[in-house]
Amino acid sequence: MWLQKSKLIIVAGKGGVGKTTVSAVTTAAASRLGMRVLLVTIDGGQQALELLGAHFPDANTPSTLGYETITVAATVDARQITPDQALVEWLRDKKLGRLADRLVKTGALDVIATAAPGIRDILVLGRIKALVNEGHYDLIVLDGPASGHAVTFLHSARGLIDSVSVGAIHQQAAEVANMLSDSTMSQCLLVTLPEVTPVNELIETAFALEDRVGIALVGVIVNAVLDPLATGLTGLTGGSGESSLTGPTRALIEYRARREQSQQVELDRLAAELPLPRFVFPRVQLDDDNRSASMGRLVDVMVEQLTA
Amino acid sequence: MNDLIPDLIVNSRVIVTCGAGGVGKTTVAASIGIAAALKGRRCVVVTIDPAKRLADALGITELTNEPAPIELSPIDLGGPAAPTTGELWACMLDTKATFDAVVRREAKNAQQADDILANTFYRNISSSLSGTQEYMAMEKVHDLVTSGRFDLVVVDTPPTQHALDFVTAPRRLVRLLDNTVFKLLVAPGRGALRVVSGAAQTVLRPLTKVIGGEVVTDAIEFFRAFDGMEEGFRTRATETLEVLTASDTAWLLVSSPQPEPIRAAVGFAEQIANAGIAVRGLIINRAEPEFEPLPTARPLPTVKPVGAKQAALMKLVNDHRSAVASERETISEFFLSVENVPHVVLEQRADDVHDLEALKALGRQLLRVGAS
Repeated sequence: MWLQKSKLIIVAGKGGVGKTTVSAVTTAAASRLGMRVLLVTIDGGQQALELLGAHFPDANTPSTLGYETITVAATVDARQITPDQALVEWLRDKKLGRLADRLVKTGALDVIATAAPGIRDILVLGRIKALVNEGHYDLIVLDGPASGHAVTFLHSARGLIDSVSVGAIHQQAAEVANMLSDSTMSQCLLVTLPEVTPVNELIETAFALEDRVGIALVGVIVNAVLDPLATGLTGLTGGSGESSLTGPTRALIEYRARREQSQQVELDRLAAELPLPRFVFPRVQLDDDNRSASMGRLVDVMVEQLTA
Repeated sequence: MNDLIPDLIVNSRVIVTCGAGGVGKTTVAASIGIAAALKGRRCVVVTIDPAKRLADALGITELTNEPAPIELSPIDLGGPAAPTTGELWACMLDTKATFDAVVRREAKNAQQADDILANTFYRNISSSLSGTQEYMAMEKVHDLVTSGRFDLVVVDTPPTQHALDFVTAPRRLVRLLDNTVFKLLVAPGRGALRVVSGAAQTVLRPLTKVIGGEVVTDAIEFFRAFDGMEEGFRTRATETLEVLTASDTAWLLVSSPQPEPIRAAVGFAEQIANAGIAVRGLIINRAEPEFEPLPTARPLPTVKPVGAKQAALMKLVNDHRSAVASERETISEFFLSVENVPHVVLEQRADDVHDLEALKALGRQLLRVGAS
């Protein structure tokens, strides 16, 4: 099972496709399969915490996520690793604490990050690599940046190796590049919606990740797919016989059938253009009233597809 | 019925759309542009989205940094009986080209501009410094507004965590350019790295060890080349900010009716309010359409045979109802946090919006839908 093949799963996809949902579901599914898991977010994290909190209601989940690791459930931890914090922490590790403080105070942190683009990304990945090496978790799930940025983010190591030829940061970049190209260490899970633009962007991202970063792609989660409810009912809207429907009910069936059809077109296109395993997540509601039940359903779906 | 969009189109000089990624900002910005042209305005839409989607949808081969006219037929513009002067133009922000133009304008002479444009650190600023894209988007808007060629500029913003990036980006860049440590390095009379002041050395030596000497040297050369241009940049940043905060600049939030984008919209509204700017409206994009009245219980006498098909139909009806209810609940969360913001709802269409006809339909819908 791919979930157990590597120590790190990086979740990537265009903004708004449900990366955080997939990250939280993957975390919960790994926990159900008996693994000890850490979920890492780069920015925000509130949503991830809410989703996990809804799924593990008995656990005493804290309400905010920060740089410190927090316990969400017996075998599930979560934390943030923000780029600026990673840079400051790294400088401290290098016994440059006073420099770090001074850079923050004078705003020169930006100067460094601009002088060596990708340094923040490298340090976030470097921090994650350290966590992987500590071996405290069976799996670390990284809720990655939006896909345009995912390639830049994961490519940062190779970019820096070229532009910074010596020094501690070069060393760090080389180690990160090794981790990303070793499929026993890290793999990437892609997320998309069954719609034209997200599918186009996903296909581009997938090829760029494979060619430029060399990271192993485990598959694509197609998120928020409508259950094919209307497809079997379209017969009811034709003709004028006794069993044909009219008015709003008929309009609903026709609308829904067209949505289901256009999703199928995108699923087929994805299958034809990207030779990767696909996992389908049903569309669910994640508002306060439905969050817990929806998380439960998605985790069931994922575990079922993993163990099939 | 409230006329949010028709009013904004007629009374604004700039409309800025912001919202989380994936909510359809680009589509909404383009359809506002079309609606404005239908209302007789000379409108330009500035997109930041590098994907060719907008160009494709607008039916042109590519968008560049320079506005290109979009062909709308006379019928769209009111027909022969009601001709209008409406125009639609579109351009895509080229951050580096825009930044290069700013440098050329502010430089004392061509030599200074050339030195800066050739510098590695400068190229990194224009490609990697966070906030630069936002700042250059606003530079572009400032240019388009003051050119007098357009009545209305519609800005499709990059997906960002912080709406305030637009307001803080100019300051952030000025702060970078004003950086004291690096200022010391370019003080008059100081030549190369080895003769910089002691104070700067205490920072530079460890820094060189960590990120490498060549990188530090590039940065120093940049600050030296840039010397003397800070004032011009600061003045320009202030002017740009004035456009953003002007009373005829309307900030519109765009969100889909899902919890996370709505939460982001609330965050944007608060940040924008903190900067002293009022949010003028919220556009809920891609809401599930409502079909009422739908049957509430079995049996449905018209559906025969009773049984599997009826059960499937009720499942569909209930699934749709719960989706609509969940979306309503989610939208109401916004108004618990943000008061006095009118909103309009654009319904999900059966087919994805990806051509000019669909954008026109959306534009007409924006002129028609009632706000509440």
